[in-house]
Amino acid sequence: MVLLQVLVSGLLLGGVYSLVSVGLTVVFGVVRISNFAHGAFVMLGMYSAYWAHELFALDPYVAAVVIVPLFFLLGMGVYQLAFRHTIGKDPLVQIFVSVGLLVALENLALFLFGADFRTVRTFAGQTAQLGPVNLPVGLLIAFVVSLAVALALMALIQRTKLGRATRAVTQDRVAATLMGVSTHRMYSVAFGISIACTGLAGSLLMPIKAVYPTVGTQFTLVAFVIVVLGGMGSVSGALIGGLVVGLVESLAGYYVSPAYQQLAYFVVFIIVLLARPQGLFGSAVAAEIGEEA
Amino acid sequence: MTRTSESSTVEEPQTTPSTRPDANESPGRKIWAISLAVLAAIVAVIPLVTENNYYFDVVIGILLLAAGGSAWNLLGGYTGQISLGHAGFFGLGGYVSVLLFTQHGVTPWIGIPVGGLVAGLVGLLIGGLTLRLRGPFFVLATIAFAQVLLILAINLDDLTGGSPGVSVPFKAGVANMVFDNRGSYVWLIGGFLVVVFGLTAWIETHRLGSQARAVRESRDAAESLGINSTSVKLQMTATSSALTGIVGGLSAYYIAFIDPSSSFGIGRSIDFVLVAIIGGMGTVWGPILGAILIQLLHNELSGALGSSGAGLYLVVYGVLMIVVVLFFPKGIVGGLDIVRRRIRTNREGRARV
Repeated sequence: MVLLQVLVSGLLLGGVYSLVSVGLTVVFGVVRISNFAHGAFVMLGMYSAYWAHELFALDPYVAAVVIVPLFFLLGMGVYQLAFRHTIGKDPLVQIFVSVGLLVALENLALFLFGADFRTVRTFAGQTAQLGPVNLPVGLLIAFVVSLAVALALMALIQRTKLGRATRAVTQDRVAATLMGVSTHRMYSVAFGISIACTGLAGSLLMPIKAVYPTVGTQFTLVAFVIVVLGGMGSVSGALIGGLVVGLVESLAGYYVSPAYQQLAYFVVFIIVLLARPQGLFGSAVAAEIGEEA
Repeated sequence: MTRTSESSTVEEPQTTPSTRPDANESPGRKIWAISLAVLAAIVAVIPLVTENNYYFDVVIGILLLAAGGSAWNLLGGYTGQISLGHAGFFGLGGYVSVLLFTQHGVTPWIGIPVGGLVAGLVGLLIGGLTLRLRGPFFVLATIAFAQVLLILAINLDDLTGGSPGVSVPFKAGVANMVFDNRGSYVWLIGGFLVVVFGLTAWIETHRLGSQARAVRESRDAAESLGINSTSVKLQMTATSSALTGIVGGLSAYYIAFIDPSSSFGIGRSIDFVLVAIIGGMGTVWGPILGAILIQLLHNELSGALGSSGAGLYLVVYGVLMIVVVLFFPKGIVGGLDIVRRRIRTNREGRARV
């Protein structure tokens, strides 16, 4: 029965990871911008939900209705201001720009809010009982919403004109431009969607997790792990990858030691990078990862 | 994933055909010998002209940053392998040297080089595993490497003392590398920086440097010229990580303390990257100029803002990093180069008239 609980907790946790990773896979996997500041935006989302609760007594789930569109605009703004200038340049430029963004955002939060751990208490802190298994309500809600959003994004990319244009730009930027797709508009929208996902993830995380300026680092790393694991650019891969990583973390925490939870997925990550860079489910981008391929 | 030569110092003959033949290669070995002597003289003189401990702290801050940035620069700047995990080597060097002393009584004069050696060997191992990864994937692997060490350093507390860290016992004496006079640390760490500078200048002017730059610009083209890119990358990785390990040891003995998060944390890796970028990646002077700028900026800002400004100077650094990378990809050294070239073409133009 303990094992069941460990598995359920892992899956629920994995759902939240999935949401963060789906946001990343839209920019890293689809439009190939490596944004190492991705987790910092999750941190911003958490602080937004926190202050919405403190100042306006809004439940984080309600605040999300405002936060998500704002973060969509924020993402487009960040693209226009910073990442737009990295397109077509050395890929290292992008890495440095996003690291600079990460440093600036984390320390802005440190300056404005201090290093304190801040939490919000709502009904989501309760635990539901389903047979022998405990279900933390906040985690359950986050899981369900994450799944729904991931499915919606999959539909968006597969079925709409916007999604087709995005995929076209990914496959061949020049050809897509010749077909009348505006590259920068596409990238800008993708960035908006990506950052909107972090805003939503932040709002969903706030009732179950404390926020502090460097909370994002772990999400950045986990999200990159998952995006690579799931096969670059595959939304469904990110979804499943998130669940796998959640399970690995939960199982390692139970069977090895909570202290080594994070170690487990870093080890998995390094192994995947080295042994199977095309991800567990094999969309072939190996050529971009391993030089030998 | 083609590379435009944004960050190169060598390949631009097409834009500047005849104006700077010396700068296109390397400005001659003699000039580097003179530069080295100047740097050594500055380091030697500083403790003689002041006894102010505040100045010593600032200078040593610059020296440590410059040495770490220069070590990173060998791999990141010259070879184009961007590591955000150099904190791993820094912390390894620091921990090995400190633990050898506190647990086995080994003098830091041996412990720090041993720490460097361990960091170098680990660098070789990690490099062998990861150097085939490209761009963001190499970066991620290096971040993960440093994170793994961070988690281990926190949790193997029987060995490392865990999160609270380890203090280096204060036993004054040259044998323990504990000096009463802070000026001695300027000589010690400055001396090491001179070594790193000399090594970088040597690499810059010899075959290894040219090969590294060739690999950075295009691995395939370099291979087709008969360059063994794996071997070049491994040599640069081992050198870079070993030097970074020594910086970690020197830093630990200078502040007489070491702890996991400030040694292995990603902030440490970013510091080294930052000084190299701002000064000029792939240049000998770049990390030193970057370190001076960053350290002085840090002191000015924290002086002006006081404790209320905690974190604010790092916001400035982050923004600075973005602006430099986007608009001044060759950093301070690149900027100085442009100025120098302009002056020279002006002079030549006038001479022709």
